Amino acid sequence: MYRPRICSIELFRRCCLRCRMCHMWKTKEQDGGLDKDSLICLADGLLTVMDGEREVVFSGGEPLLHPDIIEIIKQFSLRGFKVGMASNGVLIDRDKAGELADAGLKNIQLSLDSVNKETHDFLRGVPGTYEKVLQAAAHLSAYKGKISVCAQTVISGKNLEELVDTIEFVKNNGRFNAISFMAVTTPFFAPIDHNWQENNEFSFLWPRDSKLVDKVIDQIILLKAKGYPIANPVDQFELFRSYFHQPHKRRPGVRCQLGDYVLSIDPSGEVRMCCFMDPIGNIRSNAIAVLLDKPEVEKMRQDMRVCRKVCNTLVNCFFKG
Amino acid sequence: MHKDKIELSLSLNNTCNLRCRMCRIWNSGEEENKLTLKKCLDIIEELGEFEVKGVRISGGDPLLVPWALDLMGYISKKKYHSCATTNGSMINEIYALKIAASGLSNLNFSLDSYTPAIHDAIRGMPGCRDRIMDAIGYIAKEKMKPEIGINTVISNFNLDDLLILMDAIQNDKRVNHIYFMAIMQPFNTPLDKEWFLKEDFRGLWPEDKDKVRYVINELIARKKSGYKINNSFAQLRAFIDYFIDPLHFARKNTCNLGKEVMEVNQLGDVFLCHSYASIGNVFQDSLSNIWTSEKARLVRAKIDRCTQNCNLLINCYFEDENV
Repeated sequence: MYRPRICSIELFRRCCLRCRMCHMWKTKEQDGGLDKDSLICLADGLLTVMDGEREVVFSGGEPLLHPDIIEIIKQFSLRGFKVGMASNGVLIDRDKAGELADAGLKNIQLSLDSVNKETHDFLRGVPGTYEKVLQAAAHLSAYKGKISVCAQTVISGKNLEELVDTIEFVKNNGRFNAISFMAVTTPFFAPIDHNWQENNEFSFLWPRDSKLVDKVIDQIILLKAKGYPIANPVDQFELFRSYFHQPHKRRPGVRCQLGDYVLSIDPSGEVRMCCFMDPIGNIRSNAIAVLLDKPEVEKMRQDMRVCRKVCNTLVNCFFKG
Repeated sequence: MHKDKIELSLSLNNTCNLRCRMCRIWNSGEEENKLTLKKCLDIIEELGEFEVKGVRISGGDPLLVPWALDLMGYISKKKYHSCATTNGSMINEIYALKIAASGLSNLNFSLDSYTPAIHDAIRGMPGCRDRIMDAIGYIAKEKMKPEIGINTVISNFNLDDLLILMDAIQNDKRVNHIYFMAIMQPFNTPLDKEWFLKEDFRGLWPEDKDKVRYVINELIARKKSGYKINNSFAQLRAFIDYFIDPLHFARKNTCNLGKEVMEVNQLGDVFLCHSYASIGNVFQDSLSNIWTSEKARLVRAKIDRCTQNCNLLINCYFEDENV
């Protein structure tokens, strides 16, 4: 049976921001999502199938909009899962930070696109977001022994020139444990368009100055070599460089490893090995062990290992050097 | 100092991730577990007042408690014999390393059938039989490791499969022993002498008396030939009597639970026997005071006069002289 090590759980698609690179907030799937009881049942089932540290990452939408998120985190951490979360940070006040720590949250990725307030608020679409995320980081930093707080920055044409300053800020500010980067990719939940970089709505997101891309990436690699708290491995920055130079080119040597350790669950409970493949079933109608035991899972994993699709999932979240 | 010889059973939680047919602890709601690591360490410290046979760690599934491994480490540091029973679902390769490092003496897995579909159906969670076999593999790889045991509840669901399980375990060098228990009224259900006649539980009870006799006699024969069965012959024979006539099976002697066993539940309440009231709470008094309290004396007097057919005596605390 396939035994994943990381399970990514998308709770629902509600969000309180209006990000330029993610249009989930525009979808009509704002209602529904995974309820507490289904998730506790899932936690019990995941214990029998997951290996390693059993990492569970809650995402959304904004997970903190879920009415039972604290109880859900508590139930997963009580069962020994290493619980992480991706959040925009705007809902984390002093009390919420304490509740998250008490519930057993181990790490949180807070979206921070730039040290420049205007840039961050522009990219996230809501004024005041920058101040709130920094306040959130400050409240969470009171629990440094319990929660690791990582700034999550999406590299785009809009913030490229501010990345080095952002790294310096994260290092010196003391609120974050580290900073992690992603490269801007096809905007989520926008109509599929392989030439999205040329679309007027999104063209500003794409870094067009190749020399500037090279310069900034070289600077970041140098900072990492100096010991700055940059979470990505160096070869991921090389991948970002190559991706920004030629986004449609298949990069040889990059093998998809999603099928080796990851499992994804969407807000309707559909379980997927890969977002481009059909779901293997739904957690509301089958136990997770039954789904992972299906023969087609092995077939999917084999197909994923030799997949040659140009897929930006590999550039970002689940990159492995 | 009493230096009474006792076995302490610490029930760390009443939560479990499986949905077993013979145990409804998972249905007990989200009752808060009051025992903390600090309180448990204090209790272990207080055991210095007694002669200690061993410490049982139970639940729910105790491995779901985040500090269970710290507790095991402390018990082993005190050089007490310790054992824990688990459904195995928590144990992957990383957890196995930690268990081995904790110095736990004995780890028992609840395994009801060697056939995945049967075990998973009894335990209400697909994949849990495979997880046990994986877990045994991970534990067995460690140099310093606990003895590995299998606990099997005999019920109608696994009667046909019991000898297959026995033979598989006998051939599995990683497992040190197997211990059988007879199906009893599911935990956390209202007490009812005729529980096995009720619709809810009927499937659990083996109706075919000849088959019961055959299977358990086969287990006895295997034990005679040296199989690693931890039950005594008397206990296996008592199982036959019990299955044939559950209402009239009775102990012949009084039990001595009150003299050797003390159980602390997840709320800190202390029991000598679950049929009688708590004799104290570890958050209000010391273990030693509770053991010698007036309440304890009264419960012991009741235990001495007790004539109940009792789950504990036929299973966990069976003693040969009782039959």
